[in-house]
Amino acid sequence: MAHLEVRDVAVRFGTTAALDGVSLSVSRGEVVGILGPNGAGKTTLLDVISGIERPQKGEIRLGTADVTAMPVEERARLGVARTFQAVELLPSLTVEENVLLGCQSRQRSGLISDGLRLPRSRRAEVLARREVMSVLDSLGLTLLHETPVASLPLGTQRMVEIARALCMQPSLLMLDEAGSGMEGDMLRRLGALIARLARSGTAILLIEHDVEFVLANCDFIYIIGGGRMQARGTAAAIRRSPLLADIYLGRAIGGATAVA
Amino acid sequence: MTAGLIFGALVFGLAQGGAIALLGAGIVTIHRGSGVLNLAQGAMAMFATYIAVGVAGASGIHPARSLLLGAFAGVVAGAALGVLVDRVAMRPLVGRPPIVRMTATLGVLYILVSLSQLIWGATTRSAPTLFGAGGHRIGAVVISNDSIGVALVALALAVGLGYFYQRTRLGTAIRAVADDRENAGLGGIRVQWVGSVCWALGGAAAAIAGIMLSPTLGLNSFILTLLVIQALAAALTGRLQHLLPTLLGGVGIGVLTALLRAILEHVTAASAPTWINLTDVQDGVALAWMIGAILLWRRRSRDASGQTPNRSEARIAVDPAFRTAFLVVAGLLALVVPLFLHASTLYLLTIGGAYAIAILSLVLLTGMGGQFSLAQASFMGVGAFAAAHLLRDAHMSYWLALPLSGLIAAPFGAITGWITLRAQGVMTAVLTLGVGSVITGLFLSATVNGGGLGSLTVTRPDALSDSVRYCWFVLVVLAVLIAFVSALRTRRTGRVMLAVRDSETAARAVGVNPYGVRVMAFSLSAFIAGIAGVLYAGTGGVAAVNAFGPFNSIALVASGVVGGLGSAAGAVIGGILQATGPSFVSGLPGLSRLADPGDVAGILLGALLLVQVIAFPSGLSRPLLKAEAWVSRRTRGQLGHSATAAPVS
Ligand SMILES: Nc1ncnc2c1ncn2[C@@H]1O[C@H](COP(=O)(O)OP(=O)(O)O)[C@@H](O)[C@H]1O
Ligand SMILES: [Mg+2]
Repeated sequence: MAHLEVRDVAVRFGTTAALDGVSLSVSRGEVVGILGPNGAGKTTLLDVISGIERPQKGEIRLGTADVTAMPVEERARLGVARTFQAVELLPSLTVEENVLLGCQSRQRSGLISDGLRLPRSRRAEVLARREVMSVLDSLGLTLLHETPVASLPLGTQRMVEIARALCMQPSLLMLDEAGSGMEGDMLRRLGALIARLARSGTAILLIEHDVEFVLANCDFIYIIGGGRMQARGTAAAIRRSPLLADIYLGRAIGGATAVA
Repeated sequence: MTAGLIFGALVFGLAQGGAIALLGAGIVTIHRGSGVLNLAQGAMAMFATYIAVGVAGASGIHPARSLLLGAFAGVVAGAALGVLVDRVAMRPLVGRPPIVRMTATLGVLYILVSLSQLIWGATTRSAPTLFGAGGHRIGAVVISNDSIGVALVALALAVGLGYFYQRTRLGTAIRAVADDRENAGLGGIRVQWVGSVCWALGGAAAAIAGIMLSPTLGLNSFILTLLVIQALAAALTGRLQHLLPTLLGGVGIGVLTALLRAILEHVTAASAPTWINLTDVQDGVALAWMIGAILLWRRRSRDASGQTPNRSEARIAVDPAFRTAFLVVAGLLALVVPLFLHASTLYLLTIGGAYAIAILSLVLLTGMGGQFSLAQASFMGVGAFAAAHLLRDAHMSYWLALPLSGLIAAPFGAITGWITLRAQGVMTAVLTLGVGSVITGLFLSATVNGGGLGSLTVTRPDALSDSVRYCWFVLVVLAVLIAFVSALRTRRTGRVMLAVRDSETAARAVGVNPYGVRVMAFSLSAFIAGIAGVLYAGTGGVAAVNAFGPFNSIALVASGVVGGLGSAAGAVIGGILQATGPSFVSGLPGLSRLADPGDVAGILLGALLLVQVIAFPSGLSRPLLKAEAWVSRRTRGQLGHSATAAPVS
């Protein structure tokens, strides 16, 4: 059984149907990609899965639990981590402090122990910082750990957001516009990271405009258009889809086509 | 209880409510025309009423005519005051976030109150009614002419305002500006001019409300000023935009208050409860009304999207060695200086330390937590009164009573945080103003014998009876609390608070419950303020109700903003500023004999607040901007901003 199950979900904003009867599933260790033109409903789909948006219809299951009505923060504590299309970092804090936030729900220290600098708080802090440094290390961000994130280029900020998500030790990682703002080397590093995470059993769902990146890195791909699933299949199957040309050219996708 | 009594209360409430409605209509008018939530609306009413009464008394013509002349002068003065405030304080702030502009109106409020005390003194005067003494007998009750007159005037003005908005070109222009500033400007409407007109109308409405209410309420610097709480509750009924609901809301509040008061008087005639001061129920009604209005409001507009807050922020790196040196020097100074101070200066230093702790509670809440509060002085009061009772009635040791008083204040903070959970920015300010006045007016004043503005003694233990030692003690507590708050900043708890402040989306995405964090921040803040209250009361040995009212909370915010809510240093600067202001003024050549130095210091503080807010857009008032970031922002790309990649400067 898949780790994440999205069943027949619908979201409306006023009169626009951002999602209309969308289903999808991601298993642990699987990398699933979503392709689609702007305004297709990709971000809304991640919002529904992470809990920022409540669907008017449908169901979301994580593991064995129905999380459809669960608030964002509780899903996060269940292991749902994500990045945002419009990066959500704390600009005035350093890279390290931002990434430390990813550890916060596992850090065993509270108001009193933090304020009094009790040993308990110090231990938790040292432990978390060590963890953060190793994650930053694996992403090649070590040298930047004391830099305020506001001064970083967008691609690097996305990497910091990914690092924060990784510190949550997620069972489901969702990346919105994962590689936009990244190029060459950094994009390759992202691909390697995704593969490594999948091998260790993380379920990964990613949105990305770079079709080649998606085809190269995803096990299974959905094409979404106008709030509906237009096609789905393995990378090889999707490569043959007539819809791919529209995606490349950024054209809207309307009619329903199905590929194997 | 007879039907006649109820009927009498009803008519009285209608009249009072009509005047409150008018005050609320002024708030709505100003908010529509210029986007500013004017917390100085009551202060403007107060000031204009003083002028009206002054002119009426000085004109020396036939009494009836002099009253009319006075009223006319008051209305003109109110309108002029509105325009003045708009030109001097509000124009430079166009385009700044609502919370910053609202803070500026606090400066205006502070200046007006201090100035009125300077000019007209602190005693409460009785103001003459325009409608003559006496009344009409209806059945068993007598309805005063004043009530009837006030109700009729309010009704006439409400109808007039409605006509003005709907039927005149100017009214249409105001509505256009309220709906969409930019398009109204493009469409050829002079937006700034409309703004000034609205301030003039708002000022005139305030004046009329003040003139009509002062015969029953009495006239001093505070009564009408704090009437803004009820007026805000009325304005919230109309979501700060709509006139009719505001007017109905005002009348509703007036009637409800009068009825409740009549019923309570009847019910408690035999044995009045000692834990609550039922003569001041009006703020309780207003607070309940506000909460109801905001809950309804939120339900209807769940998807209202917020603005992108100003997120640029300089990072001040402090060299650890320098920091240590600084701390050592500060510690030595704190140790040595009190030994050589004149008694009066020592007193000021001690008071300053207590104020600094109170402002530290705001540094935590606003600077770190992004929450605005106008209830801090009430939390101080809870602490001080708890200590007074623990020491006197429970004969508790001071060393136990001090922390326990802070712990007693904390749940008051928690409740305040809980009440404001679903509010944002300026709404939080309005709600906390209501909460503060309820805590102080209804509960604190009840614990003093017989209610009202009394005081309790707070005795220091023998070990601290020496004033030098007490000063040391206050400074040590300040240092400990600063260390506590600074430690939070470097650890998980502080990071989580900053996350909720800067990006609720990010905070929730990593598993933080923002509501829990807010309640926590309010509780800790109230704890610190409670401790400050005990120390403050200990300085002079008394806890007086009138040291812990909404006006004192406003002073704390003002000093805090001037000192800087972004750091603990700001708390120290603010505390010293607030404590030493009056004696600084009395030291100025020429001013020492001229006036009560406290009032002049108040005017200066208000002016400093305005200068700070106007002149340093991203300076020390920066944490206020964070308080604006409460709206949970959508996280999507079509908003077209990558907030972190391109910080708005
Ligand atoms: N909060 C919102 N309010 C109104 N419409 C929205 C909102 N969020 C998304 N939409 C609309 O829903 C559709 C899908 O948007 P989105 O999920 O962001 O698309 P994508 O990420 O694929 O570009 C778009 O038409 C968008 O305008
Ligand atoms: Mg998107």
